Amino acid sequence: MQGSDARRPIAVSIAGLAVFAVIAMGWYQVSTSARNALVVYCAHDLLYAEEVLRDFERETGIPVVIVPDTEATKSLGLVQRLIREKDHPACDVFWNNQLLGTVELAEQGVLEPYQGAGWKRMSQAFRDPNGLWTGFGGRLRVWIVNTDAMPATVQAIDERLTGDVSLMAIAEPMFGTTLSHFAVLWDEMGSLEMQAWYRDLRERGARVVPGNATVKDLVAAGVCDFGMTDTDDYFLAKADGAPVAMVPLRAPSGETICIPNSVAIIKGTQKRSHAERLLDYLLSEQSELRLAASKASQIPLGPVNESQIPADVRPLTKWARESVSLTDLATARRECLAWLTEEHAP
Amino acid sequence: MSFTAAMIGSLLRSLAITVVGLGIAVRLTRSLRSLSSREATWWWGLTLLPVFVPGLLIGYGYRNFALSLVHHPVWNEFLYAVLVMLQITPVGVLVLICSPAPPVSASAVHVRRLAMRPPSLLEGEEQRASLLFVGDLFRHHAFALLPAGAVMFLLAFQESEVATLMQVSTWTEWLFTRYAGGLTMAAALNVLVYPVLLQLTVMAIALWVVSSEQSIERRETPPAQVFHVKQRWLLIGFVLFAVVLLAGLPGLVVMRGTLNGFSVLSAHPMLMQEIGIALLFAVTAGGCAWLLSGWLIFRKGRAGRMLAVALLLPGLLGALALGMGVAGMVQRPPLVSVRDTPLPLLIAETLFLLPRAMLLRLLIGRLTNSSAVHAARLLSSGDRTHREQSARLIWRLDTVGRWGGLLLVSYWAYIELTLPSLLAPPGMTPAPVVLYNLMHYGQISGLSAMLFASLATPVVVMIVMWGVSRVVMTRLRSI
Repeated sequence: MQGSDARRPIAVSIAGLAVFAVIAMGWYQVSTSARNALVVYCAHDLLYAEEVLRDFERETGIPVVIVPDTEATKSLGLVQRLIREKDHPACDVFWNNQLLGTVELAEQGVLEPYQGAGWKRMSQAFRDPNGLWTGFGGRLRVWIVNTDAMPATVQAIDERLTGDVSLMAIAEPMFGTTLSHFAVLWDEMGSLEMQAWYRDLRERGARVVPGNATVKDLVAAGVCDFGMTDTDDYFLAKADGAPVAMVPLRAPSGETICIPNSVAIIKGTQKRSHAERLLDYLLSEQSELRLAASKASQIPLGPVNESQIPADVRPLTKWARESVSLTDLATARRECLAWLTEEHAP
Repeated sequence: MSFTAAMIGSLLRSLAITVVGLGIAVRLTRSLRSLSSREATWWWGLTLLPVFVPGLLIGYGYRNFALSLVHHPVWNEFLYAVLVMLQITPVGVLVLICSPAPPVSASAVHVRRLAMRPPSLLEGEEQRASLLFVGDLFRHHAFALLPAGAVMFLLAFQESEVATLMQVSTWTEWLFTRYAGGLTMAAALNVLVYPVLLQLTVMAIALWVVSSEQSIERRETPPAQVFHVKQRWLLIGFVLFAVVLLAGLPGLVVMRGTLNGFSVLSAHPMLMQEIGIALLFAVTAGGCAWLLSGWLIFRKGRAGRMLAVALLLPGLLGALALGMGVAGMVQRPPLVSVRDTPLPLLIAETLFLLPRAMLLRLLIGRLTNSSAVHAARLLSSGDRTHREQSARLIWRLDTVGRWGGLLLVSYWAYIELTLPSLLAPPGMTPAPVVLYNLMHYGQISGLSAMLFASLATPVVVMIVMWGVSRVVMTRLRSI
C-alpha cells in the first residue's frame, strides 16, 4: 500500500514530463526550420505560388517559408508590413502579385538591387533599371460579363455604363490590382476627373465588393451582370462552367492594363545568395510557362517558346504588349491611395 | 464607411443581439436548472455546442449566400445577427448559471408584489411601496442579468471573423483591414481607444452592480425539479436551430466540396505542417491559460482580486484590441528582438483565453459534486479493487471536467484567427489562418477539403487524447 502511494507521484511526474518533452521538441523543430529557411512574403495566390516555391525547394534544397497576405488586404498588407519592418526586416524575398507596391518599396529604400539572369531576360518595360525589382507573369484587367444577362461587347458595356450600374461590381480599389488600375486612371484622367468618375459610379449604385474574386463570383452567379476583374479570375469562372466572357479593359489612352507579378530582394537579408537563386528561378522561362499553364493563367512577359503557351493564354500576349507602362506611376498610386483612404475610411 | 459609422452600427447590432439573446438565455437557464443531474450533462453539452463552432466554418459556409444578398444588405445583416446571437446565447446561459444569486430573491420580489395589494397597504403608503417594489425588481433582475448581458454584448461587439467573410461592416473589420492596409500603429491605437473605452464602461457597470450588492447566501432551490414538456421543447428547439444553422448547413457545404477535392490535399503537403503548428500553439497557450486560471481562482483578498482583474482585462477586451496592443509593443526596441518568435502570440493567446478558462472552471465547480469526489478519494485507501473503483469514479466525477476544460480551452486557441493574423512569426502561421487567407477563392472543392482536414484534426486529436488520458490516469490512480 505505502509502496504504491510513493510510486504514484513519480508516475504522474513521468507522464507530465513526457508531455512537456513532446511539446518542447515540437517547438524546437518548428523554430529551427523557420530560422534556417528563406522567408518569402508572397502576395500571389497561395494555391499556385506554393507549388512553384515547393518545386524550388526540391530542386535547390533551399527551404522556403511562405508568408501570405491577409484575405482582406491583398498585396497592400504585405507592402505596408515591409515598410513597417524596414529597420528590422524579417523577410528575404518579396513576391508581389502586382507592380506598383513594389515600386513604392523601391522608393522607400526597402529593396536591394540584383541584376541576375532573370532580370536580363525581361524587357525594360518590366524591370527596374537598377535591378531593384523585376516583373514577370502578368494579368490583364478585363470586364467580366455574364453572357446570359448581356452581350460581351464594348458597345454593350458602354451602354450599361451610362445608365443604372447597380448590376455592376468592382473590387475595393484600395487594394490589389484595382489600385493599380485606378492609379492608371488617376494618371491619365487627372485627379479631379477621376474622383468625379468614381463618385458618380458609386452614387449610381455600382457594387463595391472586397476583391476581384468576389466580382467574379457575383457575375458568374448572375447576381451582377458585369464587373471589373483580372484575367486569372475570369479563367477560374470559365473553368467552373459559368456563362461568362471577357472584354479587355482599356485606359483612356486606349491601351490595355497588364499588371505583372514582381519580385525583389529585401535590404538587410542574411540569405542573399539563396534569395538570388530564387529570383533567377522565378524569372526563368520555365517558371513563366508554368504560371501560364496553372489555373492562374499568367501571361509570360519574357521571351518564351510560344508553342508552349496554353491556347487560352496565347491571345492575351498580344493584348499585354499593348499595355500602358506602370513603371512611372508610383506617385499616382500614392496620391490615389491617399484619396481612396479618405473616401472609403475617413 | 467611416470608423464612427462602423462603430455605431456594431454598437446597435450588438445591443439588439444581446437583448434578444439574453431573453432566450434566461429561458434556457430555467430549463437547464430544472434538469435532474442524470440528464443535465447531456443537455449542457448540447446547449453549449454552438459556442465551439469555428467562425471560419460559419463564415465559409455562408460566404456565397451572403454574396447573393449583395442587393439586399439588410437581409445579410439580419442573417449575420441571427448567427452571432445563436453562437453567444449559450455563453449567456453559462454566465447566468455561474453568477452569484441576486441580493433580492425572486420570492422576495413576489412577497413585495403581494404586499402592494390594497388590503395590506396603509393609507398613503402606495407611492413608497411602488418605489420599493420597482427597486427590488431592478436589484433582482439587474444583478442576475447584467453580467450575462455584459459578456454577451462584449462577444457580439468583438466579433470579426464571420463579419469579414459575410461582408458585414463592423468596427473590428474596419480597423483590421485599415491597419493591415497601412494605417500606422499609432493611428490604429488612437482609433482603438473608443471601442476599448466603450467595452470598459460596459464591464465597469456590470462589475459595479455585482460588487455593490451582497449576494444572498444560498441560491434558491428551484420551485419544482420537473423538466416540463414546454421547457424540453425550448431546449430541443434552440439546440436544433443553432446546430443546424451554425454547423449543419456550413458542414454540408464543406463535406460536398471535400468529397470532390480531397486530392488537393496531396498537392499541399504544407497543410499538415501548418495544422501541427496550430496544434502546438493551441496546446501551449491552452495549457498556460488553464494553469493560470487554476492559480488565479484561489487568489483571495484585495491584491488577489486586483491581479485577477489585471490579467483578465486584456482578454475581455477582445482579440483585436489585445493583438494590436501586443503587436505595437513588439514593433520597437527593446521588444523587437522577440517579434519573430512565438512568444508574443503565445502570451496574447494565453491572456485571450484566460476569461474563458475561468468561466469553464466556475461551471465545472458548480457541476462537480465535491462530497462524492471526497468519498471516491477515501475509497482509494483500500485494496487494489477499491483503488481501481476509486480511480474510475474520480475520473468520472472530477478529472473528466478538468481535463475536458483544458481540451476545450486548447480548442478555442486552435480556432482563433485574429491573434495569429497579427502576431504569427514567419514560418509559424497556423493552418486556420492560412485557410482564412484563401477564402477569397470562394467555396471551391480544394479549399473545402483543406478546411475539413484542418477542422477535423483537432477533434480527432482531442478524442485520442481523451481516450489515452482516461487509461493513463485511471491506471496511475490505481497503482
